[in-house]
Amino acid sequence: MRLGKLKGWLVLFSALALFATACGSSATEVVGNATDAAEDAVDAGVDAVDGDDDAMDDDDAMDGDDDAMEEGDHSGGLALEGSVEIATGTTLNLAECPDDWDPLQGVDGDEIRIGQSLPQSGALASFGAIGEGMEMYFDFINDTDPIAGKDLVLVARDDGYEAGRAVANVEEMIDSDDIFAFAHVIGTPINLAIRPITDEACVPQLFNSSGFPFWGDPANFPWTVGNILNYVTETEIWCSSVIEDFGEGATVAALIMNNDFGKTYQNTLNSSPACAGVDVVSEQLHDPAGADVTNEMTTLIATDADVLVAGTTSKFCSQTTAVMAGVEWRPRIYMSYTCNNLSSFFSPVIDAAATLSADDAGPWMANSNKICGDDAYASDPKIIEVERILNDYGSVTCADGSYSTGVLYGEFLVDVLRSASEMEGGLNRVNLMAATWNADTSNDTLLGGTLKLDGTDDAYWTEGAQLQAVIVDDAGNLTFEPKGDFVDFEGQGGSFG
Amino acid sequence: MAAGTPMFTIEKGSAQYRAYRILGFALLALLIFIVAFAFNDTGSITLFDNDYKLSITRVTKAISFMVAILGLQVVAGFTGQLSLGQGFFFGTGAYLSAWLVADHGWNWFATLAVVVPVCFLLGLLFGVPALRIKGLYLALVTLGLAAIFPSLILLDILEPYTGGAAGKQVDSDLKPPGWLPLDGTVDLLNKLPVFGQYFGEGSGLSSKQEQRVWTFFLMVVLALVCFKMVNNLVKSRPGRAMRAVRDNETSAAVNGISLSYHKTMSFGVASALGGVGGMVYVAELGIASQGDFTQLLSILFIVGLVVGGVGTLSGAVIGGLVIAFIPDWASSTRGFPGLPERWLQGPTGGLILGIGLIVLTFVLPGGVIVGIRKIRDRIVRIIPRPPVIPGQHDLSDADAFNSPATAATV
Repeated sequence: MRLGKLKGWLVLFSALALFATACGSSATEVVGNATDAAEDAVDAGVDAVDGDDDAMDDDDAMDGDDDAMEEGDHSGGLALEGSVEIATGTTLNLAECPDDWDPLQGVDGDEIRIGQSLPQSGALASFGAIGEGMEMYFDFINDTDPIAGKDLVLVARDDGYEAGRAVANVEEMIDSDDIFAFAHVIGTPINLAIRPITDEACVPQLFNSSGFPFWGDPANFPWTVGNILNYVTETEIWCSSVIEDFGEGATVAALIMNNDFGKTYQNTLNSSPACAGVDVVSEQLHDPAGADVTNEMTTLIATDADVLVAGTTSKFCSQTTAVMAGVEWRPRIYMSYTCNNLSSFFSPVIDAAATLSADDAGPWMANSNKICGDDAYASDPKIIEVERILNDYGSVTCADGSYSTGVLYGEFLVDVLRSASEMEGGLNRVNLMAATWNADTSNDTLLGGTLKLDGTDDAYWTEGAQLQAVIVDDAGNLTFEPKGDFVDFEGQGGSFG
Repeated sequence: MAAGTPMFTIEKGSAQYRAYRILGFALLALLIFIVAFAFNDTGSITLFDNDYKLSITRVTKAISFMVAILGLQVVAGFTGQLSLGQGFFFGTGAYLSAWLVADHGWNWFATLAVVVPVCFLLGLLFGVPALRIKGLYLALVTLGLAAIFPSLILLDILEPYTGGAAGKQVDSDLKPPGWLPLDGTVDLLNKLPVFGQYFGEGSGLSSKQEQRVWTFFLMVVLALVCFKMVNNLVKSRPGRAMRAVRDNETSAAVNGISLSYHKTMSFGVASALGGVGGMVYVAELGIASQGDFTQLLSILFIVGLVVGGVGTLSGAVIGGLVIAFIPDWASSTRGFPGLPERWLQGPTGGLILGIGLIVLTFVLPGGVIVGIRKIRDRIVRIIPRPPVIPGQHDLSDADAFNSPATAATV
C-alpha cells in the first residue's frame, strides 16, 4: 500500500471514530462493578453488626471528646495530627500523611474546592451531566445559603471512564488545584484506582458513585465512603419480594451482564442467605460490549420461570423490555435500578413497555429516590425545587439528562460539609470525615428512610429502597407504580469484610 | 537571506555536523532534566481562563504511548500494513507486567523478559492474516483484535489474574536509590535566579515526587533504547526491505524480498513495542483496567501516528505527547472567546480533537514533524556527504567540483 493512500485511510478512520466517541452514548445510569470480593460482601452483607457496646456516641465525635483526641496541637475540636478516632472503628492516622499535608487545604480562603473525575467523553459521557448538576446546585447554595460564608467550587475533570486518566487527573488536582476533598467520582474501577492516591495523600474521597461493597470499609480506608444502594442489598430486596409473592422454591431465570457489576447480582442470588429460598434455574451471561441480548433471552424464555432477573444496564434494559414484550412469557421482571431513567431507557421502547404494563408485567426496580421527570412526582415540592434549580442555574430540565442526580449528590455533600463547618475547629479534613462517618440525616428526594453512617457499625450511606414497577398510564406516560412498602435496611449492612 | 536559503548549511560527517549532533543531544538531555524537576509538581498553562495541566505523571504516560506508536511506525509507517490492533498488545503488556509485579513480586523491568517475547509471538501470530489480506480488510481484522481485548480480560478463567472489571492494582512504586540526590538537585535548581521559581517552592521533593521523577528517568532511558533499536532496524537491510514492501509489494517480491517474512516480523516487532509501552503505562499509573484498553486506545494510537508523522521516528514522540495531553486539554477547554459558555461543556474533548485532526491534515499533511523539519530547514540544512568514487576527486570538495578540470571530468 502506498504511504499516501495509507495516511488517507488512517485520517478518515480516526476522525470518524473520534466524532463518534465525542457523541457518547445514551447511558445515564451509574454502573458499578465488583470483584470476587463481592462474594465476601454477600456473606457479610446481611449480618447486622452488634456493636452497641463499642459504638462511639455521635456527639462524642462531634464535640471532640477526649477519647477521640489523643494528641496534637489542636486549639479546639478534633486533633489535627497523630491518630484520631473519628467514629466507631474508624481512625485517621494523620502521622502517615505527607509532610506538607494541610487539613485546611482548599478551604483556607473564601472557597471550598471540591474535586471530581468523571466521564465527560466516551461511552458513558452522559454521566458528565451529574457533575454539571452538582455545579448548578453549588451555585444555588452559594447564592442562597453559603457554607461558612465560603463559595463552593467544583473542579471537574474528564476521565472518559478510564482508570489511567482518572489517576492522572486526581494526582494533578491534588498537586495544583488546591482540592479540599473529592466527591462523587463515578465508577468502580475509577474509584478503586484513585483510592490509594487519596488514602496516601489523606484527602477525603466522599460518596463514590458505585454500588460496590468495597466503599464501606472505614477500618481500612477511613478517607473513602460510598454513596448509592449496594447491589447486594438490592438483590436481597428482590429475593425477599420473590419469596413473599411466589413462595419458597420460586424459579428464577437470570440475565447477567458479564462484568463485575452483573456478577455481584449473580453471586448474591447464589450465595446470599436472603436468596436461599429461590431456585435459580438458568443464568445467561451477556457481553457488556455485545450488540444485543436476543440469544441469551431466547434461552431464558425457554425456562418458563416464575421470575426474570435482569442484572444488566444501559441499552440492555431497553432490549430486555422489547424482547419480553414480543413473547408470551410473563414472569415477574426485576431489573437493576441503574435502568430507572425512564426517558433514557423506556421512552425508546414505550410501546413494548406499554404491552408489558397492560399485562401487569412491567419491570420492577428497587428505587431509593424519586425520579425527576416521572409524572408521579410532578407536583412533589422537592422535585419542583430541583426543576427550578436546574432551570435557574443551568437552563436545563430533568428530561435533558442526569442533572437532577447531580443536585441530589450535591445535597449529600453540602449536608456533611455544613455539619463539619459547625463542629468545633470549623471546616477541615478531619472534621469532614468525622461529620461524614457520624452523619445522620435525610433528604426529601428519597422515597423514605434516613442517610446514616456510624463508622464500622454502619458504613453504607443509601440502604433503603421501594420496589416500583414501570407502567404506562392511561395518558400514555411512563411512570413508576409503587409495589409494596419502602424497605429500610438502615444500619444492618455493617461494614465491608 | 534569500527565501528558502538556510542560515547554516552543514555537511554530514563534518566537524560541524558532529557539533550539531552533540548540541541536539545536549538540548534533549536538558529538556528531560527540566521536565523531570519542573513538573514533579503539576504546572499549568492558562489560556482564555482555561487551565491546561502539565505533570510528570502525564509525561510518563506519554512515553508509554510514544513506545507503542513507535511500534506502529514499524508496522504501518515503514512496512505499510494498516494495523488498528496496537491497543491489544499495549493492554497485554500492561496486564502481564501488573500480574508479575503484583502477584509474583517481580521487578518492573524484569517483566520485560516475559512481556517482550509474549507480545512478539502474539504479533507474529496475528501478522499471519496480513499475508492474505490488505487495506481496509486488514484494518478490520486488527480492529477486531483490539475490540475483544476488554472482553478477554473479563473471562472467568482469566479473572483471578486480571482482577476483572475492577482492574489489576499494583502497589509497587519504583523507588530511587538513597544515594541519588534528587531532593538536593531540586533545591539547587530552586535557588537559580529568575528560573528558580519554576522548580517548586524550595521545600524539596516528597517521597511521592521522588518516585515520580525516578520513574520518569527510568522510562526515558527505556524509551531511548527502544528508539535506538528501531532506528538501527530501519537503517538496516531488513529495514530497507520493509520500506520496499511498503512502497510496492510486487517490486519488492521481484527483487527477492520475502513479503511474508518481513510482514510478520514487522507485526512481531510492533507488538513487542506495544507490550513495552503497556509496561511503562501500568508502572506509572499503578493499575491495569480493561476500560483503558478499548479499541478507542488503538484509534488514538493511529491519531498519534498520523499527527506525529507517518514513517518518522520523531513523529512517535510528537504523537505520544499529543494523545496523552490533547484529549485532556481539549476537555479542559470550557470557554473560548466568541463562543457561548455552555457550548464547550460536556463531551467536547473528542470533538475538538477530531476537528484538530482534520485541520492538521490540510495544514500539515505529513504530520507535525514535517512542519518542524520545514522550520528547521530554514535555519539549518543538512546535506549528505557525496560519495568518493575511487580514481575521481572527492565530490564533497566544492571548489574542486566547480573547477574547470573537474567539470570536464564530469
